[in-house]
Amino acid sequence: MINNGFLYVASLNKAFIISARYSASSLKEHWPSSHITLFTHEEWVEESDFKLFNNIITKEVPHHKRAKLWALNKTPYKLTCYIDCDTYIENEEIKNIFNQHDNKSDITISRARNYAAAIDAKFKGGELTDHCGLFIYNNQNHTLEFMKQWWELYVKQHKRKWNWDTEIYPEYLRPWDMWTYWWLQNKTKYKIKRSYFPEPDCKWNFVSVYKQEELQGQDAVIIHRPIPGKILNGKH
Amino acid sequence: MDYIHLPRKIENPYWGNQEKTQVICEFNYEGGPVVTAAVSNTDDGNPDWKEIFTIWTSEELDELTQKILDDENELKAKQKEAELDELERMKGDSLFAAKLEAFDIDIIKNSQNRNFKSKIRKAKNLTEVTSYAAALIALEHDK
Repeated sequence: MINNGFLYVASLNKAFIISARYSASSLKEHWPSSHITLFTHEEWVEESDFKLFNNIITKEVPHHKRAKLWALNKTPYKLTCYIDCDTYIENEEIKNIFNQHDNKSDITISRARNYAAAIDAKFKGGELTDHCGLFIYNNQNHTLEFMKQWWELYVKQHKRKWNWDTEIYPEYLRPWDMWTYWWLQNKTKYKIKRSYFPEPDCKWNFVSVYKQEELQGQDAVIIHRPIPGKILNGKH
Repeated sequence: MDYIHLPRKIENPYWGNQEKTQVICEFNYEGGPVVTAAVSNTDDGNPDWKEIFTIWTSEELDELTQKILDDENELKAKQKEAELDELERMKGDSLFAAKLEAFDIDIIKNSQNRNFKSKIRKAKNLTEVTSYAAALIALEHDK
């Protein structure tokens, strides 16, 4: 088993594999020896992908908007950096990313910024605090079980087979995997130990709408930029 | 218009013109609507005008008018800033879309020329993206 590696998941819309290639290419530019696994659909894989990605897994990858959750517990790494496709790496400090993981925790993640969120992260029953678009996690059994539960519960959530008290937890949370993560972390026995990237945590997952001052004078290492509509809605 | 006989308060006055011959204010009718009114004095003495100046002095109206102008200017500045932010976001989106499109061109995708790929990725505008993409394609053709 390889120690550390990055995991991309591209499903449902070809824009995601275009973005994954772009992101992985920037990763290899700044860290040529980094190890990358891509989960995607066989029909999307091109010859050049085998030069870019070290490991491509296509078997049984679901066509699903949260296929990422399905892939998480199938990581080939001891320590995995899950990274959304709509990202790119800015500099060589990426080589230090796995050193940011607190070995006493199971997952290292960055804080979500309310002002940049698509929904109101605060609700009567709690608050979504963790940005699930990039995180490092270990391969302990309980961590992988958490990831499995994340996928299974999300599927129920998406199909409306899991319902909750909407007085406390608003219905608008339904599309979001951050909500499923919050629930598992706060309301179930599957909870795993979380730590945050050291401050400024956002340098490891700098969403393009974040305020520059969040970086506290440092350079962002990973930029998270939503795929433009032109590409997302393109005829790929 | 039954409400005009209801008791009312005059609220939120400010000058309606530079000559200070008109006051814009709200007539808040008890149990009725709030109506915006433009009040001017008349030759035989407008009672509403008189009422306004029993409550506020001319200097106080100056201050209230200035506050409204300041609020409006602040709102306009914020709107302008939001428009500029949106424009920047659109420009950023177009640039990022162009880079993704360039990297989706087979000859660029298959190229092992990391230097030129980096130049495309770091391009600051659409012209740079197009120029570096074209240069890389030319280099790959020459191989």
